Amino acid sequence: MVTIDRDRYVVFKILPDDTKTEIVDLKRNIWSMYQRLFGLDGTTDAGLFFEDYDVEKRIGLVRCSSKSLSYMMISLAMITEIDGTEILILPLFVTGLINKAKKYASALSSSNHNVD
Amino acid sequence: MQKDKNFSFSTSSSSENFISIDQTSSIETFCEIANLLSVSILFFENITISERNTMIKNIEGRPYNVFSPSFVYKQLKNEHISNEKIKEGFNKFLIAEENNSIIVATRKTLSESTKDELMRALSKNRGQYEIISVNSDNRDLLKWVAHDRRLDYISIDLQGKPSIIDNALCSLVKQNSKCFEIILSPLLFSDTNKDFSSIVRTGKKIMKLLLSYNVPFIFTMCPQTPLQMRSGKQLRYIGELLGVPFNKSKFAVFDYQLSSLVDNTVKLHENYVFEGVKEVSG
Repeated sequence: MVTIDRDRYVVFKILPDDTKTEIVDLKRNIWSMYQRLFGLDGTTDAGLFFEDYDVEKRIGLVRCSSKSLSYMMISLAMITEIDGTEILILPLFVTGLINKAKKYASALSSSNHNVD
Repeated sequence: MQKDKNFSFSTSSSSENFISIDQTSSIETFCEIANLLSVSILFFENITISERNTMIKNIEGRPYNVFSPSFVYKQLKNEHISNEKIKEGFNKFLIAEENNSIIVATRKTLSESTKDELMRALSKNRGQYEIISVNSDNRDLLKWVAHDRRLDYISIDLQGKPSIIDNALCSLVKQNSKCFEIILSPLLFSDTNKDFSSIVRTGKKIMKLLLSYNVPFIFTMCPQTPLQMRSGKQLRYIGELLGVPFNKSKFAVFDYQLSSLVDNTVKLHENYVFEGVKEVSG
């Protein structure tokens, strides 16, 4: 039987507002935290992919498989600093549709914050 | 049947149960981050009720409003009689959009090692804080704490020995409607992988015991700075590392904390006589 692995898209925001976090550092930290907690095998199953990241607004979009969503959330919650700067990664929205996730992220990035 | 549009339990709100303030951060900075994380009740360690009241008077012109539990209780006490109804009233108050409110409560952790010392500390601190918890390595003392109605939580440090929590203590805590408070911050700030794995192992042992007895427990992050706070869902996800399924920790981030706070706020009010009896004016 063929089973399809569904994807989940997590929109997140980095706090505080005055941090300048580069996508490279962010990727490195999330990957290494995931690997520390769930090992290489878990990391390969997760299917992590960084779809989008707005450096100015610090809003990003990351994809993972639906089965590893909770592991992904644990990894995001466990990150406390990037390059010595204390940060907090706050997941805001989880969906299975990339268009919906992009719409949410772009609405957040725009100044009026008009999100359904 | 028409649904009650005005009321629904806030599923996303949570509380941070153990905040220690140092010189670099203030109540305001914690409230700012708490507002973003939808954390609606904050418990500050070592700040008395009177100190708290003077601190929150100065917080003005923010996108959120800060209240004390006694202020909310004063608004609700004439409408509701039972603690359950008052708890619902607190919940309604917190989810009301126009309020955008954060409740700031106070707490004290007593770390005495003998019963006499603990009783002395308790008599000094009673009535000055809304929540009192105990953190001790003495198993007999914890059993005494489980019986005492003046104390609310037994704090568990995941870096300590798992053997102090045993079957007898679990059933005592459950019988007396107390709570275990699990401090999750050691998981985030362990230096080496060895420390981390030993903390996870200790945590898993303790949580397995608590889940088997169905004992109430609450999660806290014990943040020293505002950015160490986590939202309720994040706390529940971190709890999964200790073997607690996401659905089993539903009440561990908001409900138990709110009910302890409401019970104690009612007790601390001047109208309270004893359990189930209070003075009614007019």
